[in-house]
Amino acid sequence: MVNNNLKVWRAKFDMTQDKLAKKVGVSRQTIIAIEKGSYNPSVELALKIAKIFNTRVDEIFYLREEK
Amino acid sequence: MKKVSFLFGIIILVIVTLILSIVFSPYFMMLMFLYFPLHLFYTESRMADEREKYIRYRAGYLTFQISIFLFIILFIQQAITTKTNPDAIYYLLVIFPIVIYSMFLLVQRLNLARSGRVILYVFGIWWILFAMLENGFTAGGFIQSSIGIGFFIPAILSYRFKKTASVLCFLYATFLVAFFLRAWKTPLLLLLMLFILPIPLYYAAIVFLKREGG
Repeated sequence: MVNNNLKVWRAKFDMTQDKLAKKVGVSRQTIIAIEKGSYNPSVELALKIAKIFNTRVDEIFYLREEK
Repeated sequence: MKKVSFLFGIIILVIVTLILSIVFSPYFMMLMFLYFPLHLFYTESRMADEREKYIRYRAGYLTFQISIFLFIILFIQQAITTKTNPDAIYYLLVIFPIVIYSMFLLVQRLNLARSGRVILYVFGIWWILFAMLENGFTAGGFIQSSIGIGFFIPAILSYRFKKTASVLCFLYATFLVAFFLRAWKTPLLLLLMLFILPIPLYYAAIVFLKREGG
């Protein structure tokens, strides 16, 4: 299962969900779903998001440890 | 502009539905369901993001499963109540979505040539069984089932001679189309026969000609 701290990165950059959605070319609902963990983005979208925050993909998205 | 034409489409749909429902029968209210393809067409015309596409795929798959289930129930119910062969429309309702879905799925799971072969074998065997069950082990049954045996020749040839197999499929399918157009005058039966026999052959003819990617 993929987890993410997109919300934290958005807060760091003081960016709204709507603004991020527009920058990466998806709907706001998609950003909400990613933050909630109910939707895993494609590699392309994850790369685009990482590029917006000037960081690596694995800084934002990571695998949740299985017990 | 697209939004205006979409709204215009909905208004037309509502007016036409209401007029038909008032003048003829309230059952024409079913036409309201045409809103969904209209809406899909509208949303399709703007860029859908990957999550929306995923949701559409899920919705489509779920709809497919439920529809197949309902069509099979309808088919059985029709067969039980009439105690005869259900009308061609019931066969079409069950077979049409399954065949389309299977063809797409096969290409994804197998390579192109193999998917063509599987289609030919499956439809060939299916037709032979159907002909035998309908006519029994009679001369008529053997003649009818020979149509299915014809599917195996291009399938076997395709292991080594894909182009020849493709040409054979194409010619055989065209012959069957010409034959059915002469033999069947009922449009639904004709459509059913075209769908069961020539369409898989045309499909195989195309995939045998295609080059494998990668």
